[in-house]
Amino acid sequence: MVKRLKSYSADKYIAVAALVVLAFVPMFSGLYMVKLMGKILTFMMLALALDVLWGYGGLMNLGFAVFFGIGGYVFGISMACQEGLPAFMKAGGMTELPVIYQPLTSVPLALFLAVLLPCMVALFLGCFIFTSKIKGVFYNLITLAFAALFELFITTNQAFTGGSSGINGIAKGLKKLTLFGRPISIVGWYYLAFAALVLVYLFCLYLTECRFGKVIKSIRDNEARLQFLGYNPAIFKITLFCITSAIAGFAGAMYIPMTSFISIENVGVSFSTMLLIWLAVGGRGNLTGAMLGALAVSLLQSRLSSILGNVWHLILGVVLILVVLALPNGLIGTIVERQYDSRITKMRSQTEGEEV
Amino acid sequence: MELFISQLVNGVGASARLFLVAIGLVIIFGMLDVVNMAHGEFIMLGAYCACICVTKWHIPFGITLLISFLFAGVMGVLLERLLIRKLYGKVAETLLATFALTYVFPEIIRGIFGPENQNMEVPIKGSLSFGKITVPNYNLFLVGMAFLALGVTMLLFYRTKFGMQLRAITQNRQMSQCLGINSGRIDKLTFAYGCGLGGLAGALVAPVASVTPDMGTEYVVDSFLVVILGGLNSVMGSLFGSVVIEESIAAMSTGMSLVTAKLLVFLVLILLIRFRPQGLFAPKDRR
Repeated sequence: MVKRLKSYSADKYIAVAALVVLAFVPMFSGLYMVKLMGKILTFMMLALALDVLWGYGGLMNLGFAVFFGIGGYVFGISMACQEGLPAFMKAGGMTELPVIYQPLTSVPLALFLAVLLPCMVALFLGCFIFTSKIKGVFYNLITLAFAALFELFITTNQAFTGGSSGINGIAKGLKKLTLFGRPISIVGWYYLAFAALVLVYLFCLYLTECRFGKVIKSIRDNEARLQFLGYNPAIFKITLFCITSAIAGFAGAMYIPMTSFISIENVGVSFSTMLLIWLAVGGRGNLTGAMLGALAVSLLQSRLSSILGNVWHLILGVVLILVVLALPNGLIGTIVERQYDSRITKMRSQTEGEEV
Repeated sequence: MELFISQLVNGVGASARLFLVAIGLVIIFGMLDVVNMAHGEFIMLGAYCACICVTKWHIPFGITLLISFLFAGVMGVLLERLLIRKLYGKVAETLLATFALTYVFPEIIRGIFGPENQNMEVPIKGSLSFGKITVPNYNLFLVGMAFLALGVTMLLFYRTKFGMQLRAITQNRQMSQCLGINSGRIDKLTFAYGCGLGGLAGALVAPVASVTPDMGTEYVVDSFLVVILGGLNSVMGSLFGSVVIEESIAAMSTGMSLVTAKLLVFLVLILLIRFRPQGLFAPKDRR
C-alpha cells in the first residue's frame, strides 16, 4: 500500500492537498473570500476541461471561454427570467419573453441546456474543422475568430443578452432555488461547486487514463500512425471537443451563483487568453497544473489588479514570457519532471549497485 | 441601388485597409510559421509613431510613413532576437509568448502616453464624386498604398537575392543552410519586414481610426480571417481574401446590421475551409 502510494507522481499529491485546503476555506474566511474562492472553483473546472483538450488532446483552443460563456449566459438568463421579464429585455423594448427563451423558465431544463448547448456548438464546429484536412494552426485561428465574433454578437444584441452591461437580476432568481426544501446559501453553493470540481477532476482523471484518453494522447503525438492503425482521429477529436465543451458549459453555469452576474468579460477573447495563461503557468498535460494555475493566477489577479490597476497586465505579460522561456512545462509540470528524473537516477543507481 | 453601389465603393477602401493590416501577418505566418498575435501591437506602435510625428514634430506624412515602417521594423528585430528566435517551430509557445506581448505593449504605451485617444488629421483631404457616390481621396490613397505594398513585397520575394534565399528556406531549411545561406539573418529580416508592414498599416489607419493603446486587438482577428480565407502562404491570396471579406460585408450590410453580416461571412468561411483546407488561394505545391 505504502509502496503504491509512493509510486504516484507528485502532481496527484499536490492536487489532493489543494482540494483538502479548498474544502476548509468557508470555515476560516469571510463571505467575500468564499464568493471569490467559489468563483475560482468554477475557473478551475474550466481549466481542467481546457487541459484535457489542449494538454492531452493537443488541440489548443484560443476561444474556449465561449463555451464557458454559453453555459453561463444560458443559466444566467434563466435565473433572470424567474421573476418576470428581466430588466435588460424591457430596456430592449420587449414586452414578453421571446419564444427561444421560453424553455429557460424551467431551471432543470436550463441547467441541462447550459451543458448541451456548448456541446452542440462544439459538435458543429468540430464536424467542420476536424473532418477536413485543416492543419493545426487553422483550428486555433478559427476558434479565435469564433470567440471574437461571439463577443461581438453578445455586445450588439442588447435586447437578448444585455449587451456590454451583462446580465443583471440573477440574484432574485437564485433566491427561489431550493435544495431539500431550503434556499441555498453562498456557502452551500461553494460546497456544490466544490463537489462538482472534485467530480470533474475524477472524471478528467478517468477520461485521460481510459482507452479513449490513450487514443487521444496518441493522436496528439502521432496522428498519421493512428490512422494507419485503423482509427479515425476526427471522431475522437470531435468527441473530445464536445465533452470538454460540455464541462466548460457546466462550469459556466456554476459560475452564476457565485457572482450573480455574467458579462462579456467572461466570454470573449481576453478571457480565453487568460485561460491559456493559467495552463501555461501551471503546466499542461497534467490536470493539477491546470487547476493550480487557475487558482494561483486568479487569486493573484483579484489581489493585485485592485492595488496595481493596469500595471497588473504588464506583470502578467512579463511572467508569461518568463514562464514560456524558462519553464515550458509550467510550474507543476517542472516539479513532476524533476521527480521523474530523480526516480530514474535512483533506479539506475540501484540496478548498477546490484550488478556490481 | 445607389446605396448598394456606394457601399461597394466604400468596401474597396475597407478592403485596402484590411489588406494593409493583414499582409505583415501573412508574411510572418507564411514564411516563418510564427503566429504573431502581437501583430496588432505593431499596428498600434505604428499608429502612435505616426500621431506623435505628425502632431508633435510636424513631420510630413510621407516621411512619417517611412519612420513608422522603420520603427516597427526595428522593434521587430529586437523582438525576434530576444524572444521569437528561441521559439521557432513551437506553435503553442510562440502563441503564448506573442499573447503575452499583447499584455505588455499596450501597458507600456499607456504608461508613456496615457489612456486617452491620440488624434491626427487626415493628411489627404477632399473627395471625388461620381453622381451621388463620393469617395474620400484618402481611401484612394489607401488603395494605392495597398498595391504599392503588394508590389514591393512581390518584387522583394521574387526578384531579389533575399527573396530567393527566403523561398529556399521555406522549402528546405536544412538544405539551404548547407548551401551557405545564413538562415538566422533571413528569419530576422523577414520578421522585421512583416512587423514593419504592420507599423506602416498602423500609420495609414491612424488618421481614420481611433488610436488607443488597445487598438491592436481589433485588427488582429480580422487579419486572421483574411489569413484563413486567403491561405497561409500567399500574399496574393490575402489580397483576394480581404477584398472578398470586406466587399461581402459591405454588400450585405445594406440589408442587415454590420455584425450579422460579419457573422454570416464567418460561417461561410468555416464552410469554405471545410472544402479548401489550405485556404482559397493557396499554392498547390506547398512544401
